[in-house]
Amino acid sequence: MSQGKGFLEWLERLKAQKAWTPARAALRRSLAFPPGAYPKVMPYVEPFVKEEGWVREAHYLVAALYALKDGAHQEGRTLARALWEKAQGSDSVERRFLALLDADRDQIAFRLRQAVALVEGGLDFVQLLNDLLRWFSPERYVQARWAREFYGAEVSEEKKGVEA
Amino acid sequence: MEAKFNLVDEPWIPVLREERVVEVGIREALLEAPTILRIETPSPLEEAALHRLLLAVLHRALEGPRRPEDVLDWWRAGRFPKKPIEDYLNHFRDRFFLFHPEAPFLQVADLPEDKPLPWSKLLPELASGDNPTLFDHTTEENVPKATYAQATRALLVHQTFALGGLLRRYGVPSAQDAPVVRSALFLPTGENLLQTLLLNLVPYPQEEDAPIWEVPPLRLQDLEGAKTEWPLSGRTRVYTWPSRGVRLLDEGDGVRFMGYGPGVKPSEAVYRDPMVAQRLDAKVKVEFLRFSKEKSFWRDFSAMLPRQGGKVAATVDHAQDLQNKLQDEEEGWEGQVALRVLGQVSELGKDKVLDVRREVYPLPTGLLSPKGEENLEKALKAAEELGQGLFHLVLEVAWAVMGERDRQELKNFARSLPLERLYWHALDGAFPRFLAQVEKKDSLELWREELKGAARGAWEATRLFLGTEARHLKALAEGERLLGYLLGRLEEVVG
Repeated sequence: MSQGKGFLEWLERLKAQKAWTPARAALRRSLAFPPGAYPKVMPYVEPFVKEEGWVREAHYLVAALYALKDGAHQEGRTLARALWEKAQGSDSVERRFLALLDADRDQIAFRLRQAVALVEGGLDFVQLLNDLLRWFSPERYVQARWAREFYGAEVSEEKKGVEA
Repeated sequence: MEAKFNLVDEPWIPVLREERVVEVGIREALLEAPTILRIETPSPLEEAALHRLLLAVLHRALEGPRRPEDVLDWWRAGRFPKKPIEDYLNHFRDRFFLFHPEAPFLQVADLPEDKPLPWSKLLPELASGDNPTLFDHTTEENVPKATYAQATRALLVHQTFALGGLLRRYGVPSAQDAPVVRSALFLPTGENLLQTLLLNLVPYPQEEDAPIWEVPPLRLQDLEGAKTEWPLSGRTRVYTWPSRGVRLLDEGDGVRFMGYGPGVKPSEAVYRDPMVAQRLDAKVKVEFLRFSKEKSFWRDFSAMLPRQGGKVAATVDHAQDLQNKLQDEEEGWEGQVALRVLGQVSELGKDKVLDVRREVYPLPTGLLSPKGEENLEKALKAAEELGQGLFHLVLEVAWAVMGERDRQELKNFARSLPLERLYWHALDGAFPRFLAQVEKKDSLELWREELKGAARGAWEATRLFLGTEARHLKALAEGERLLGYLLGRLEEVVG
């Protein structure tokens, strides 16, 4: 099981409990702080985190974004894909997407939050965490795949049209 | 001065025999041809020139072949007829001395020694005109000495492949191109030297032809002021054309310098060299197929086919014909014929050699069948179209990376990416596989896969070449989309 999948199950269990309402509020609030720096959310995330550094921060970040979307998980709908849908006819969305691709560790939390807030509907949070965990790999293949999903989306749409 | 170093008997032609490279004379090369694997030389030009010399001797000695059947007879016999060759070589033996007071081979006996040039000027690979090369550093003190064998081969290469240009000697301001200097020469090769020579022994009409050793030796006075002009016709005359006046100066154990001057001026005549192919250019004018600087020769392969108004080299036609006859026979010959394409790359009208080439392809029996021609044409067209598509793609990538720029700047950047180069490079390797079965039914399908593989491989390498910033990733994503489109279209083109 991928880390993303395990973590999502953890979040989904949290969402099913009564405690979700205060947890959601705290997680949303945590977006104003650097990931992992807001003590109130630690009880929800820390038990799941096994590593320090970026891995820990990524978990906090995804938990907060999950709360921002009120737990709307939608398998297979990646952030890049959702942004592409939003970007139709909008240059500013593309600019934000490109900025997101170039985001370093200082910027990523802020830019992700902006991007997630921008799109409507659910997102694949499993994929999001898995991708974030590998975000800083020197080959940047996660970013390359996001770019493909964003710019290549048109073609797959056309293809679907033809096949249907 | 006495006559010295006779090319009929002295060893000077490098051949591969029993896995060793040895040097043999003309007599041995011809009479022992079945035991010799091939002429073995690193120089493509030397390879062509040596074969042409041996072929000239054969045509004259055998007085033919008059009909294709003669060649078939010699093939079946497994050797050339010995007596006519012996008789011929003995008769003209005196004209094959490298050094001779009256008639040195392919040279001019009374060319003055005063303004000598280093022998290395004979080799276009090394130095010619304004070519800045290794041997241009030669001074009188450090000219490397050539062995007689080396000097003979260089002489032969020079007479066959000398590029025209400034000369300013003996009343001649500039010299003309040697007859086949800018053409690609087609040499089909078999499993031993006998087969190779037979594959190139195109039926030969003897009228008005004589190789250099059958005519009176040239003197300086014949060449001064470009006095002597011969029509460019007659196969063995052209095979042994004296493009320049040369006189190698003997130093007792080698050659360092030579006298040098103009040669015989070729005058227009109806002549098609058997090793040369033709195509129609954009203005529907016939031109010789030549090597180009930036692309491999196979990309022009279909231009010489009758379908496109071209003419394959007579040697190729002859070799195909011979192959078909051999396969139709009861014993069903199953040997392989390889096609060697030899020559140099030069800019038109300039006396500068840019490259020397030897490309080797299979010569399938069905190349000149209607199906073979059609498949070849389709395959090359698809390769060119995809190549153009890839260039367009890489321009788009450049634009995505660099933004709005001057078109030339974008082009330069696009050309710096390895996409096109690697694509063609991969196809250089794949083309012989396709050609080997060009007339088969599924060859085009195979080719389509090769094209796709080449494009994808080149694209992957290009990805690594580009950066990974967002603008690069965007460019790559868009490039990939275009690539998908191009590969999809390929299905329709090569269906």
